Amino acid sequence: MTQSDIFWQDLDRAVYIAGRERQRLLTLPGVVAVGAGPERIKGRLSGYAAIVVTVARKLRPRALKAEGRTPLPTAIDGLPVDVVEQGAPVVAPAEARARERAGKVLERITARWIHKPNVTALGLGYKYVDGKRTDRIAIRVYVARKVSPREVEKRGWPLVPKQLNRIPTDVVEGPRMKPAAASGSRADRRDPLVGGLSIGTANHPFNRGTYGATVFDRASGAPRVLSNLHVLDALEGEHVIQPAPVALDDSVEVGFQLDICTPPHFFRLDTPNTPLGTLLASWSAGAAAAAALSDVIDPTRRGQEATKPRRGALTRSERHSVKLRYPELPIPGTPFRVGASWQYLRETTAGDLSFEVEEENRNPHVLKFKALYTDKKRYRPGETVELMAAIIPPGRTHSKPCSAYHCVALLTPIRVDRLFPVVLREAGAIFGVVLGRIEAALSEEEIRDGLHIRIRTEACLYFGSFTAGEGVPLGPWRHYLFAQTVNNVAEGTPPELAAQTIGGLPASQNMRPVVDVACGPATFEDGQFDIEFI
Amino acid sequence: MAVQFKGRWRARVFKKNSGFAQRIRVTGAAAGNGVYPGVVGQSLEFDGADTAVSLQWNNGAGSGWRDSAVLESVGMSSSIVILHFLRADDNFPAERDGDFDDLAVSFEYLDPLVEIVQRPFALDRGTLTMLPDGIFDASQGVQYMGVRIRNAWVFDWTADVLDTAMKIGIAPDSRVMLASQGIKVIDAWSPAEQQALGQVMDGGSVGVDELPIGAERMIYFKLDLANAQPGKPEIGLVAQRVSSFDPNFAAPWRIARRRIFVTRLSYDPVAREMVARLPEGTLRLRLKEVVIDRKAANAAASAARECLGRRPGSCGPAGSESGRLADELRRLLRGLLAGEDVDPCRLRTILDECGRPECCESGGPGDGGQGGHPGGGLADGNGADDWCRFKPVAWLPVEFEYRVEYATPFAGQLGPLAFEDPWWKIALILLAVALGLGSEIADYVQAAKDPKFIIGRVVRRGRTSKNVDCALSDLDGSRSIDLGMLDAQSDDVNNAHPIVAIDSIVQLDRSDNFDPNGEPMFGMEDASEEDIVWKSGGTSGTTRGRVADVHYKAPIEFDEEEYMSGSVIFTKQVLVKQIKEMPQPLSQGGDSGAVWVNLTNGRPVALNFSGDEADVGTFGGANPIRAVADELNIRFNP
Repeated sequence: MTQSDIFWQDLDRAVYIAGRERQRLLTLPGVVAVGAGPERIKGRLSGYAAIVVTVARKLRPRALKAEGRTPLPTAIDGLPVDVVEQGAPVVAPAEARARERAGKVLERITARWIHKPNVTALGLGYKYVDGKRTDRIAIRVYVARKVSPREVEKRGWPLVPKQLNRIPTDVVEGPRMKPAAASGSRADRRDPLVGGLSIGTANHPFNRGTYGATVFDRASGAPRVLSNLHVLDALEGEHVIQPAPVALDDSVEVGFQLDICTPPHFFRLDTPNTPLGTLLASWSAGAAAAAALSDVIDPTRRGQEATKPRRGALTRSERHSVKLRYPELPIPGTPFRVGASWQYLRETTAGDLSFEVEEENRNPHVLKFKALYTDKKRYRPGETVELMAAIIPPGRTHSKPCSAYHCVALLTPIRVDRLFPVVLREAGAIFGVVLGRIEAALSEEEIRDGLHIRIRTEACLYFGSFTAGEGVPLGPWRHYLFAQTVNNVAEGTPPELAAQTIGGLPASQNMRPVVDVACGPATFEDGQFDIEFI
Repeated sequence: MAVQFKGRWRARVFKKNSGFAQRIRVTGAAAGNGVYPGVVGQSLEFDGADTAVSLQWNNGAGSGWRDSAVLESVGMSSSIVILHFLRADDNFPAERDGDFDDLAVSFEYLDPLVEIVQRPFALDRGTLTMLPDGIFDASQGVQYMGVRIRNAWVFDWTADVLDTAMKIGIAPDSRVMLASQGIKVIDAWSPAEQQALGQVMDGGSVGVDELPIGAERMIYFKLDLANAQPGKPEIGLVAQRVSSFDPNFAAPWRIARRRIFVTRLSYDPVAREMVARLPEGTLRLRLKEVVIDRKAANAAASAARECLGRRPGSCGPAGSESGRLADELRRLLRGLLAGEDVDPCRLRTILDECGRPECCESGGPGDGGQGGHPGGGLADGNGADDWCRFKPVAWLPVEFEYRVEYATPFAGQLGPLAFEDPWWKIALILLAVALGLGSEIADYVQAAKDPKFIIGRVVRRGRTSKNVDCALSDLDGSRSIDLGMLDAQSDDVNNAHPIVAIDSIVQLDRSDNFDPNGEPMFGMEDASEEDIVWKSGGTSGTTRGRVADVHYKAPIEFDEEEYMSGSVIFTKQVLVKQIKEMPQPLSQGGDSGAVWVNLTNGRPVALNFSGDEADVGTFGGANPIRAVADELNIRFNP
């Protein structure tokens, strides 16, 4: 057993003994607190755990004797008793001076070091050598990953010198820190209120933090609740709720981070327009569910095929318990992977039958290319915006003709939160006209890259129009092309085959993954135009 | 000589001028093959993709039945009814008289002029995007129906010289049938609405100027399904010429039919389940775990709160007349979400009385006749149905359960196919966004207003420039106070090391204390490196750590909160590190605001506010408690 193991084992014993002896010791004159902690001898850590007794004033044994008081025991049940004076410095004067010197140096070097690559934080404390604490005070440089000097050089990271302004340094692994605002009965409504409960505010019902402690206003003496600003993040006067609203309902577990958002950030959908955001937000979930539950063969049918009831037994109900994993952001229109674990349970009159599946699927609903063009970039109020779209389906075949997609142009003024959708039609007989307009809208670079040839030979073309009539907001607009699959199963197709085609699944990619302060999909438009007074 | 026919035809002999026996021979048809006497008044019907029709004669003197020479011509009995005429010249070729009147037969084309190519699908009224698998959902009210049609006539449809442009409408008898199932066809379309769907309405019909024979295109109709029953009703389309009216255009055989799928999804707020009812049984889906965008969810809740008039100065504070309207509105909306019948007029009245254009203005291209989409578009915080809707919240399902309960238990291995179609699950999951999650947000908004849960108001905020992340709330006296902190609870995740005893409350040392200079420390003390400390946090519970640094300095990224945003560098912070031999999580999401207490003496030393990025709780970052107390002007000793 190492010294460290002994320390923690003894500390647990010290906590127990302190609890057992607390009432007795508190009856002794001058004793104000009984607890447990690391033993300090003349301000220096001894490396052992102790029962720590805090006294109002620490007296030498002789002085105690003179006052007729019995000295406190030096040990209880073999554990040392450390007597400390309330308010007195804990550390030795020499160590305090060393800490002060190091603190001044730390302030000076902060600007230079805190934003260096791999550096997560700075600090100071005991210098550790080969994992053992020394008495020296060092400036600590916390790094996300501790590597050899050679590797540091190879990665172009700064090498931490052995000393900074003659203060020794210590490189310590420590992660980046983030606010901790996001269990049982702590989330229940409690009366009386007590520290450690979940609280939140009315304006941010999806935030939650901790009721730190009841404290008192120094001026009025009135009781107050102490917590963080980022927990009670509201204007003065906003209601504070216990428990946090998000903790009220435990029927659905609500999480805020995706495993894929590493380093973890809040999951965020960038929405330039809320109706558009609603659309994309809900379809992300739909596309993920469709891909996970395999839109080729339905899990219910798979479960039925895998479980054969006894002869004469009747199936009363079927149940699926599904868990999804997201190894990558499920952005519609991309071939994202999604993991699914599901259990099928068939309840029959002759007992239950079950079947389990663990698999990973890929979203098959993707396009090789999609774009939406306008005939001009500037329009007068009242003018008509001609819209032309091109999509290139993967392996265009008879099963994926141009009629297999429902395309909508989503037009949004940048300054006003509104959405103007326009259904697009297949170019059909006017393919040449639409193609001509698209080619006119292509940039020189796109033509140099041969995009016009790809569009001419591989693409399905669509068109529509939008008149910037009265009341249509002026200024810059964004436009998006949203394409969905169409259920084009012919009538008379056997039901088992027909069920393999689902309409309405998004095939266009309108978002891309972004990992920044937040992690999530960000929308991107196909282009912009202006409606303005000319 | 046989003449080829495609489709369904009715033949009628209208003339016979021959001494020979005559007959009509039909072969290759899907229906109607046979031999029919060539006598005036004889009528027959046949149907097929490649039917051969021969007019035959027999001289009764050993010729046997032989094909006549046939002269073909085309005519019309009305603007849309095509007639094909065959006139026969009988006898052996060398002996024919060339009058082509030995037998004359007219063929009337009986197929609809238009064909429905795919199952018609539903479009969301606000975004014009397709609903999952194109299934109509009665709970969504008004929806557009997209129908892919094909010109099945014998001529091109064109507005050119031929003037055969068509208009396609829902047949009168189909409208009656739909109405009997609670589906109403809406014929009023605004100009902007027509442009958005790329078509011109003519009465209740869609104008189709150009469509060559066999060519296809999409057309759209507007249906109100608010009162629709789940099922598979048939839609019947008919065509008629734009230029001239045919009173028989809607004869039963002129109607192209196809079924649509209608469901009624509802939300059971008690069981928290999405419910889809079908004749075969009931499908119930329950979300168990979701991951959502917290910032968007907060924004949605704020917008909902504002839109529903919970904030003074909008639709009116609670208790006021407008506040009562907001409450009634909420009740109606909840009823709507639960699939109950609500009075739409009352809903409209309340929204009108609410009087906040940004909340209640009309919008959406589907407003038909109400001035919808006159440059209005679908606006923020406003549904196409003119009621407050939730702002978008990105979310993903993590765990859910669905179960099928059969109306009649089935024998054998495979069940009714209705539930083996993946769209049901997807549709339910998607609807959970609008209803389940929406209801959740509504509940939170409601809870935030419920005096039962309110304990006070925010009264003071610390300044980050002072290296603290702290704020205070007052207490409204609605509940009593215990000055202690929760020890490890039996239902905590981490409860192996209680400070005193499981399920107890640990009291702090709140006695007066002073520093060596005699200055009051208000019941707190400073943390020292290697101190053993504990905290009672809302998420990770009551756990212990070791003070690793008291000069910790780190940049913290705040996620655009109201008063905390961007990167803030905190200096002289307390870093608490996990004890290697007692690896309990120290600071996880929800533990912000917990107070770190010295295990030695029960004195508060720091205010927890941050944790490691991975949220596993190996570290806790905390403000020194005395800096917090000085900034907020508070004390721990009463």
